Amino acid sequence: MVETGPGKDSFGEFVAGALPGLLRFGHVLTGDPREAEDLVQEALARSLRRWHSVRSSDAVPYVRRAMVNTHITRWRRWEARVRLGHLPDRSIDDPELRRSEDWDRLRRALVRLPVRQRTVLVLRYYEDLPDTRIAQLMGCSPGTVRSQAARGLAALRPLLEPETVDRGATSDS
Amino acid sequence: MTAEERLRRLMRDSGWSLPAWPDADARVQRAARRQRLASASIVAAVLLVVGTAALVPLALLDTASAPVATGHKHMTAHPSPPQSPPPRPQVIPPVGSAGFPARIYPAAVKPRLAVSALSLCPDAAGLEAPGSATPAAAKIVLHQLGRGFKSDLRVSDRSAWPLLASSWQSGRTRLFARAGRASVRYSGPLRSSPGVPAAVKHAIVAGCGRRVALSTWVIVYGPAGKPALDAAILFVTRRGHMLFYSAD
Repeated sequence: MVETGPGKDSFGEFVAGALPGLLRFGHVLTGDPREAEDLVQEALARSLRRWHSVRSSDAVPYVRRAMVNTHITRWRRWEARVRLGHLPDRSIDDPELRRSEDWDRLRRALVRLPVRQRTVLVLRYYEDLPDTRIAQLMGCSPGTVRSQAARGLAALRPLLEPETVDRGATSDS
Repeated sequence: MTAEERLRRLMRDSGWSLPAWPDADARVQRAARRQRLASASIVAAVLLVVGTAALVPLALLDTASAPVATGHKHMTAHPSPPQSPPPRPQVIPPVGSAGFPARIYPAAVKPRLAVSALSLCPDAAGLEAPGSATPAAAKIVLHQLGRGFKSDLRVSDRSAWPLLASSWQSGRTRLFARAGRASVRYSGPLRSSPGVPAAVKHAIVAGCGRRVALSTWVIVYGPAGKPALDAAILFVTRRGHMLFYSAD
């Protein structure tokens, strides 16, 4: 039997339990802590409005899907910020967030990627979703997903060379 | 370890973690309330855009007179909005009707691509590139917008007329209470300035064509401190007449 309609009473519990993971996902997706918070808040609020129709077992994927859609929609309109060289830098000097040089480089490089490439990489390597599912989420073909992933990986490849990771791991330990 | 595995590992670095909100449920409930209000009526949203557009000239007149105004200049809504007529059907004059010559107000054309919120584009006939008089003309047009349906039509291209008609048909007095503050971030030609969001440029060039883009003058504005909510008001100049045509 499918459990449906978690109800508003359970929404608060859901938020409390899922929030850290959603914020983390939003941070990877956007590359910026404040934008991640905005994205999570917007997606949760949208989800709350349709909470009666969300199956409790699917609640987290549902909210994450809302985050992806909101993120793509938002950046489709405002991607000029990336093209014009705007880089969110609020967390750069935060020592708690600077876990490693490699992580910080990756964060900066991800932010520079076009939103579709970044989203594909996050869904593929953070969420471990198959390309067909990513295509479904993003409203494009699996071939487009593969090409976007290839371009994104190519852009990030200099950061992913073995010596870069090894040096970061050493300094971080 | 492959590059993909390294990427996967770096994406799962604990550096991505963010502190949870102590008031998460209340915060989301507030956001949901805001969303409900925002989506309560599409008409209200359209009215808000047009109403905000009507407020910008008031602020522009108070700011520096430089043709290209960048930076953040805060302004407040006009305290005494003009009288608003009761809602009633607004009829769009046909092409070539009295008072609206076709050479100035030709029929709007459909966008080439559905790449933006633009449902109609200005006809490219008679369009002129922005000149030295354009900044002042933009202020005048903005100042005149919102005074009445007919006067709005006179300072607008036909591509904006359906939007104006629906706004006036629904009544517009609520606009002034809602619009609040706005900051003008950019005022200038569309074609060459980094002050115009690339998405807006792309929408105009791809949707309406190069001639319309070359003639377009843009005012980018938004609520103070929230650049993500910026909006753009677009104008063209046709045969010496500056015309509002879209608020994106």
